[in-house]
Amino acid sequence: MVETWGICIYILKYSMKKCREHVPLGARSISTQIVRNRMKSVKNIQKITKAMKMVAASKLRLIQTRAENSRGLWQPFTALLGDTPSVDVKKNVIVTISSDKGLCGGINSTAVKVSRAINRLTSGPDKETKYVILGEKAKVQLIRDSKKSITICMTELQRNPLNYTQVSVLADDILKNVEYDALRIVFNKFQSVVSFIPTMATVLSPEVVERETESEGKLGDLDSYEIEGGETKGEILQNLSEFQFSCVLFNAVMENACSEQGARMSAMDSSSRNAGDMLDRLTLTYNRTRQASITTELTEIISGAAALES
Amino acid sequence: MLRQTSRLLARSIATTQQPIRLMGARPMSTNMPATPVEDSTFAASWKKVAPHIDPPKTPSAFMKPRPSTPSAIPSKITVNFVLPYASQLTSKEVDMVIIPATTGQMGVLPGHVPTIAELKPGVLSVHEGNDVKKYFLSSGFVFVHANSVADIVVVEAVPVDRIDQNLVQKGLADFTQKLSSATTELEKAEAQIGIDVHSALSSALAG
Amino acid sequence: MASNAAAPFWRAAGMTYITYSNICANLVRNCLKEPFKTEALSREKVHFSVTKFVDGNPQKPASCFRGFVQCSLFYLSNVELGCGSDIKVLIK
Repeated sequence: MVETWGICIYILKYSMKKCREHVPLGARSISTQIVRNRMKSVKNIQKITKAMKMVAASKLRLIQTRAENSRGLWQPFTALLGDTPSVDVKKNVIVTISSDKGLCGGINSTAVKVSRAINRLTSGPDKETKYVILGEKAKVQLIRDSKKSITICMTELQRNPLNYTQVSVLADDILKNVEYDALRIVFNKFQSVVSFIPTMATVLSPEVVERETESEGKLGDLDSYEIEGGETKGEILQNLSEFQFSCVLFNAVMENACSEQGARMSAMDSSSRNAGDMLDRLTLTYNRTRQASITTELTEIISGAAALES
Repeated sequence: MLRQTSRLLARSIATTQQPIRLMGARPMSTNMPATPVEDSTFAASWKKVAPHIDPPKTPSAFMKPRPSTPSAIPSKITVNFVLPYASQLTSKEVDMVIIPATTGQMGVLPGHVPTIAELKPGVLSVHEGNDVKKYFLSSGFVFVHANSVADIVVVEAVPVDRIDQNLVQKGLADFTQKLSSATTELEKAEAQIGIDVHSALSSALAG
Repeated sequence: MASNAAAPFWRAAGMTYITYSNICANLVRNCLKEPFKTEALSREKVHFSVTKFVDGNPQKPASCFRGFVQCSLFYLSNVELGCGSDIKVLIK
């Protein structure tokens, strides 16, 4: 996480300051040695963050095209069913999407914060809200305060490149293991390398869709559609709702993976920039100390010679 | 609230002006305002529980507004044909599409009644002038909206000429054999799906 | 919920629409000519691990695959499942 690097760099800065304070005029080799060690470690950190930035950039390039390709998938469902964030149902399931790995800025904590707020929003008397967590990082955060509400946690999604079959198998597993009236999928939508928008997509259960269609509910428009195929309307709606969930979840996972790489890239970029700045300052200190010690030595020699002469 | 009333109003006007059902100038969910309106009840209740965090966006905020229903039937139908890994057609205007609905092949022309149709494995043909493109679809859904926009969402689609005839015959034989030897409900269902898909594939190649 | 009598045969057998559509898609992919077949099949690899929570306590990650593996034999023919660290199920 970027915070970790922040702390790391802070410690370095602090010790550097200390080391500057502690340079007495006479002491030579020891103080330069300390600064040289610091410089080495900062240089190494910079190398690592630079490499991580490059890796993130190339991963981002790959996944960005695929995320963009998947954007067509959810739009038909939103066009048909709209998005219904304020729908009032009993059983809410919050699907929080996060990353497995850290060092990617604040996207995971944003997702968790939003999920917690949705939890507060949807909770009430005889209502039930559960969490389904994708990715290690949200699990770590949510397990602290909402342990009881977690039903399933899924990790290691990105072992192979993300694809629809995988996400739909996952969606299938979720559907089989939780009871829901509404699924709230929380993820970070990828906008650009520096901007990720916390987003919530709502998928309603077939029963709720049917309820909202009738009598001026939120989906009153659905009534005007003719439904082809299947024996009953309920059956088609059930298939539709399941399919919608897997499609929406697929895009959400793609967008979040894309945001993750983008966030990691910019976090690593700023880390390597910080390390560079620090390196500059350290070099300055180092040179100054060296200069000072040379000057002191010269003065000593000259004054010693002068003392001998006189 | 206001949005609902305007919609209701529009509906009553539309029905008086357009008694013919097929034309379907009724307001649809696709009939979205040019700038997506945020759900005000949601925003308000969000403010109560989390005043320090901005409410999350909802998907429609990222969607291009769909065209409103024209009063006259357009000459072309706009098709969005999407797969999980690609968008095959995006807002493409074509003359007609024939889709493999579970109830049978369904031709969709401009001005079609709003329909939600489940798909079975079969051939989708996109007619554009004299040019006909054929895809084999595995399964999915089609939504035809009142504004002559058809959304086709499919799990897997391939051009028909990429299908291997020999593999289809072999698969058909395999699954027919599997069906006879299947013991559990699940195995039977899987074999049945196998037969359905492969016979659809072979008739696609024949047709 | 749809009444059971009207449900399609695959739902009666315990599949969801997602399972059904994945099986269909995979069968279609398997009938493609080369090189499209390899390309399509290699794109759709599955791997993840699931941990269920009961009363706030994580259960063993392996257990939750059983039911799901049973009903998905066919479309999982090219799928590798990782269950935590111990089990690697490779089906057919």
